[in-house]
Amino acid sequence: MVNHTVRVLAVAAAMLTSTAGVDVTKLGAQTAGNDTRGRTLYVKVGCETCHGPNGQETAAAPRIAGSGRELAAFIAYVRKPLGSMPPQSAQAVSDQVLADIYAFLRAAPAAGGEATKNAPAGRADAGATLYRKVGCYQCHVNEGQGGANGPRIGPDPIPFARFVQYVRSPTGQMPPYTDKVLSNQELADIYAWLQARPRPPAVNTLPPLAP
Amino acid sequence: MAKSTRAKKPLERRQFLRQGALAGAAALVAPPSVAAAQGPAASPAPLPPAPAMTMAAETVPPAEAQVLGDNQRAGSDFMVDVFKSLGFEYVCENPGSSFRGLHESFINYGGDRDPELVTCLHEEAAVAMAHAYYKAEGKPIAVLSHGTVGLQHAAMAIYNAWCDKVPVYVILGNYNDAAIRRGAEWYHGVQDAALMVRDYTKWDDAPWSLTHFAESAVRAYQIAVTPPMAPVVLVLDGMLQEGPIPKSQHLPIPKLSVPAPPQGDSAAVTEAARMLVAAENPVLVADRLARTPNGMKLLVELAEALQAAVVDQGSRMNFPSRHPLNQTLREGAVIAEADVVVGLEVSDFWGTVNALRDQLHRSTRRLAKPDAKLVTITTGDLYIRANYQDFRRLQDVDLAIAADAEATLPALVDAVKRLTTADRRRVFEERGAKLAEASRAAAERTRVAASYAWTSTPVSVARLCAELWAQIKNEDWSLVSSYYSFDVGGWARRLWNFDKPYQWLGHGGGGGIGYGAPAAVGGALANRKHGRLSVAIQTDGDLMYVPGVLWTAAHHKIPLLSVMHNNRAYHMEVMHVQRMCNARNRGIDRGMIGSEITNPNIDYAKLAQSMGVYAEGPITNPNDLAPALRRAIAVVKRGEPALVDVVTQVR
Repeated sequence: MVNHTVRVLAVAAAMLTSTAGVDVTKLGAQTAGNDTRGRTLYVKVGCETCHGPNGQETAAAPRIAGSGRELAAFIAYVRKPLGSMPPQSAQAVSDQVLADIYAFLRAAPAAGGEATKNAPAGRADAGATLYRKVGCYQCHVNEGQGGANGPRIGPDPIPFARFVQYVRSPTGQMPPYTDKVLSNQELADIYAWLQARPRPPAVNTLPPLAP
Repeated sequence: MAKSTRAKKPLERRQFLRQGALAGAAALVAPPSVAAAQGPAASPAPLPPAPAMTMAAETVPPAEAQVLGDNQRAGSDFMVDVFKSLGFEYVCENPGSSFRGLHESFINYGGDRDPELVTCLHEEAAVAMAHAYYKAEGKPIAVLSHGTVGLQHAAMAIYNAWCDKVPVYVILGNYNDAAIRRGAEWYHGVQDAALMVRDYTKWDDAPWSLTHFAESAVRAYQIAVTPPMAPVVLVLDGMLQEGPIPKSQHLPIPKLSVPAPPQGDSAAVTEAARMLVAAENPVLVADRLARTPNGMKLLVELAEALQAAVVDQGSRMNFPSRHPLNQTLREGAVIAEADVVVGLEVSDFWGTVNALRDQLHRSTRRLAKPDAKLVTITTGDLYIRANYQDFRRLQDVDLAIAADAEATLPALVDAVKRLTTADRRRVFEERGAKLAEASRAAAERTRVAASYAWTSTPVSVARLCAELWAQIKNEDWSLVSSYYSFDVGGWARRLWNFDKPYQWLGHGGGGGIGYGAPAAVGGALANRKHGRLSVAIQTDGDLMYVPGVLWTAAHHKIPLLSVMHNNRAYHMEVMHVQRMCNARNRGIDRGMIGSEITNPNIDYAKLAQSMGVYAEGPITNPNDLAPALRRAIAVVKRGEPALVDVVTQVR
């Protein structure tokens, strides 16, 4: 028991050191992330377990895709998170790894812009038909709201580049769609429809959802 | 006189067969009457007894008396005495001539009370009703069926009960004696009736005599309800049922002694407690843990003593859904963080700590940390069969305790409390506070998730569950069946406050569709005498396997609210076909072929109405749902079944 307590204290000390060790002012070009590496590392580090394959909101964890948080703040949070998220020490997960994951979540190299800017123009009405025809609704449900078999994908879909990448080459259970069966334009149509999904009313205005 | 003498001989022989406790022993030491019946030439040398059918095949003129004498009763009357002694409240049956003797004894000799016959329109429904009844009441009921065609109908449901470790007591009729079979009794006759279900039943017998029957009937019950529990089969010969026996004859009924379930080895339990107390992030995973209402109390006590995360995999009502330590919504997260994982009657422990990726080339990865300590407590280690693969993949563990988890929990709780120091308690309390915050946040995110697609048509399943919850949450309710076979991630489980053992009955076990509808009626039958409001979220595909069970509910006045989750397809299968379409790069457009239930759409309200069930629908506008549910609940409160057909989104 004594030994165990000592070990706990040692881990806690290491956490504090590593958090203190992140110099948020010196995370410049040398930690610019590689989003391709980040995609693999996101799964390997275990982020996917709670945040889902693309950082969408799940019951276990909030949305982190397309985060507006700066890289330095992102790293600082991962080192010393609030709530139930387990901390990741610098020994276990380096700043560079976190920068790569950050780039993946932003859907573009950290130095670049948001990939949503590159989305081709989509037609939401065509997307509505396609969404059903190619079976997205089977897991993501009729309005993109998600369920037990797939996360919510609309409104506020993940950045378009990441969206296309995942559909073409998913890392989780989702079956892949090649451009032979679903063109980039068709994906853009579906994306436009997902963007157009209405936001729900505030939960507290829905009496049946009262606990 | 000569005629009456000849007529008497075979009767005596049959009595010998019916009454003999051990036919072999009887041959070795034949009582005087039997020796006489065998004739003066009976040899003192041991001979095997003549098979019943050979003896009865002798050409014997019929006796003049063709009804039971005043001093006689039927063999099946005694069978009813035995079944009454076992405390069966109901026998679910679909009538069959091979048990006509027993059927008559149940209704006339037994007065159709304790047990009362429940008329089912399919044997699959009869077994599934008994399956769910057990889980609601903690007591088996019997199923009565033909030994051949009836059992063939029942087989899938028996397999479900086997996988779900539920005792279902199956009684089959069969005419063994080929020399005296009528026409239908030939193709309804079988040498070894239980053979076809022997791979997924725990025990069976085909008794040769009434004494043998009494022992086997009691033994079958004891075996069925001793963990690991499972279905049992008793095959009753038609002539054993129908033949007369003297009323004066005393046939013993063995006393029912249900064995205490096996508790874990005390040293192993102490070791498990040490690991749990020392752990930073212990996780308790329960699947078929709660055999009785006490199971949930014990798991709460253990979890609170440790302030440990609990994952309820949902084959039983193991843990209150809104308990702050319930981390079921965060299962992946807590397993990934765990340093000790304890599986309590978990059937798929490998799948708990690993994941399989279902792509063209399947791959697996471990979810738990490589150095996480793994412990299992399960009766699954005590009994396993080879052919059917419901035992799942082998997971190597650090400590395996072959025992009943519920029976072992009191000792584990005591050991944990004994080993917990003040220092550890402070750590536990901090951990508990974090877990409580995480479960609160997860519940809040779930409510937000349920609000999406709130007003869309067809009705979202989250909306359906929320509307139903709003109508029942102030009642003494019980969810007797739900929309997925394995729907721990389903909306009812995510949104509702489950805190009583009977509020959730688990799933079908084997994934055999056609369980849900009859299970709901069986659960509702158990709930009836307790005055509970039974509700089912009924899928369309499942209902159409055995829709006649709605008639059973109406006929026997079993109060049950069935709310249709009518998504007009076998959508789970659509997903599988779609996965193949994708993997083969052939396009998904045709993926619905073979799985849709449209063109024409089935009118479930009319279907239910045709069988005497109050019904409304189809409802497509979510705003129409609440008033319809209120009207239907009023009917159910009058003691009848009601159905509301809701056209829903996929899942």
